[in-house]
Amino acid sequence: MSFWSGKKVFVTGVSGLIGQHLLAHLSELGAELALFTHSSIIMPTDIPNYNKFKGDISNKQDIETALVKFPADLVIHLAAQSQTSNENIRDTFQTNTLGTLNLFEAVSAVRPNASVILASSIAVQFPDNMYAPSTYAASKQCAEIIAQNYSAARGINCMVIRLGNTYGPGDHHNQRLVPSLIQAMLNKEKIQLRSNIDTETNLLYVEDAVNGFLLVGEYLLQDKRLYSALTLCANMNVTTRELVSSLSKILDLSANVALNENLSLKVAEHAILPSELLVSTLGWQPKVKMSDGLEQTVNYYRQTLNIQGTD
Amino acid sequence: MNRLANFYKGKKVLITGHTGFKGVWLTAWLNQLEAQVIGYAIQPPSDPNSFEACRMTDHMTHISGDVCNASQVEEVFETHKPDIVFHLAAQSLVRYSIDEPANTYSVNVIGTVNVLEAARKCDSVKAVISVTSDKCYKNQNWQWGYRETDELGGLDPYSSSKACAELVVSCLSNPRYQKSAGSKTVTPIASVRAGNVIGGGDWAADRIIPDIFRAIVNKDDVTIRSPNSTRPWQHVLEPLSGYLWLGVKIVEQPDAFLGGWNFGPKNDDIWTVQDIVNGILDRWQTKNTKLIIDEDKSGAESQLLKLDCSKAQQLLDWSAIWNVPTVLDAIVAWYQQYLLEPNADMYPLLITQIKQYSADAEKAGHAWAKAH
Repeated sequence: MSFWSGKKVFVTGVSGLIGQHLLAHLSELGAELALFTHSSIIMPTDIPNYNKFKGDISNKQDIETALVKFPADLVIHLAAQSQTSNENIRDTFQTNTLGTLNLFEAVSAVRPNASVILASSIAVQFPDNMYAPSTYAASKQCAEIIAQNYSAARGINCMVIRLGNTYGPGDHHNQRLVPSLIQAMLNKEKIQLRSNIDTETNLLYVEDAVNGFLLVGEYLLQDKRLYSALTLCANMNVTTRELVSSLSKILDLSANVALNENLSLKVAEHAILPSELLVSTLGWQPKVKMSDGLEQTVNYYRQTLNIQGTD
Repeated sequence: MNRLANFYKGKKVLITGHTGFKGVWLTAWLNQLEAQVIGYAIQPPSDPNSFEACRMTDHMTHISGDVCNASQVEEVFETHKPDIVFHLAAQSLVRYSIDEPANTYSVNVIGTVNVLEAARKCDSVKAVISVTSDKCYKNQNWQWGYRETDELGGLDPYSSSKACAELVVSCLSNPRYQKSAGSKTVTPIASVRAGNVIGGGDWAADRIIPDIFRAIVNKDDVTIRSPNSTRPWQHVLEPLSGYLWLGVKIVEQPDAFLGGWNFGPKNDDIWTVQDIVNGILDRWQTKNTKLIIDEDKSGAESQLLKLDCSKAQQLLDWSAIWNVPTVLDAIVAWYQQYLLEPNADMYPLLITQIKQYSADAEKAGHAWAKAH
């Protein structure tokens, strides 16, 4: 019997890339699941049964009502606005910062013994302390400050997972680097980059990310450690140039990149590495080679876009 | 006329949270400098309050509204087209924040987003000073003063919401953000971090000075929980002189005075809670009120808090002027007049103390106080 058998896990943000993969694994491992979602999304048929709570992360009462009905052992907070734009800056803070506050308020009111995992991003580790690089990074760092506050002041058992840029099958965010490259290449369109082609990205395959969540969840539930922030990412960065070349090989076609010298080159000042606790204590390592991960992802988009590659 | 007056005379200045303790003092000072003050705030935070005691509606354009109301905030900017903005509106009480974290974060985080966004979209605005707190720093329990580059955080909702407000500033002040959001020119936004401001006219709950005067009025004793705690006590006029001077410098040189700014007392002038209470009781010469120490070891509020104000000293030539005895004299004078003359208009005393402070600053040779 697996560790997760019968464990009650409450997940927000179930329709995102990590949410889909994480739920599939938790379900297979026998966890009892509660899905908190604002939309009436259709869940994949391979998750046999789960509790579903319709609600809005901006509404504390919705979360509290769900948690009253579902005695969660673990709460995994994935719900966030990751595609931010300048028109919705208020919504970004409302969802990512105050949404996290609502979640912690509800947990401390109704399920103070539950453990919480807050999904964050390596974007919060910005070296410049004068300017936050993005609304997303600032709103997520605020969420971490709130998590830390609830852990210290209310004793909520909590860990933050700062993720690298996760990619894999099932990503609906078409503006993200990997989906946008694959789709442009499959459609034989010219690739328009938003930053210099030698910009580095820390890419993490979704199955490796999910594996990290499961290990951290198990650790939290067994060990009851109070607050820490872990970095869950690849051991090395990849440039967009390398990424395009890998995809060209997988797709067996040459990429048509619109080169633009004016795009700024963002090079990581220091390598971001996975946290010591993950690697040494929990034995986590990214296992999926980038070429394999990209191939899986390409296959997904081939099916969903219904586009034939060059056979 | 000093350099502040030379600059602010005739300028349109918008203050959010002008009905609060600090807001009233800032409004009075800007009036004294002959600026045109527009205030946007909810009702005064306490009863009594210095906004009413000073008859402030006679001295400014008073607009009643909540910073959480984004469209009303934008409307105020569009209607009044301010030159300079001081964003003071906040839920500022630690104790209240523990009971009402949601309201605290809404006002302090989303409210700041609303004000800074409205300021960015308003072409007339030449400088924004966003007021957070010295509590925005993650408490490291070390013996050094906090610097502007130290890690943000907070163990109570108020402090943590102010750390978040700092992140809002660091995001919205970013020229890259402003340009991508469609601003033709970059609106300079700085954040200022001061705390433990004391002065006449504060009636907030759970603050040491108001607690002492409530006790004196009621002939109660003053009970304190952390007698040996030190705070960077300073008269409210000290950080306000820094905020006003920073506004001048930013307009003169928009890209040279950004980021966060600490405004605190000199490091050899840090008093304990116990010293402050005794200092006031001695001055008042009352026999009906005594100091009672009921030590609380729960550590709810941080024990050691000190600011490193080198940045303001080096770049603004700013430092604190009044020592603690002078501050206590000014405070006692204020509350004594208020209590001895029921229904007195306290505004003239604000102006008297502002003039006294400015004269002391000029004598001490501070850059902002020099005659122009």
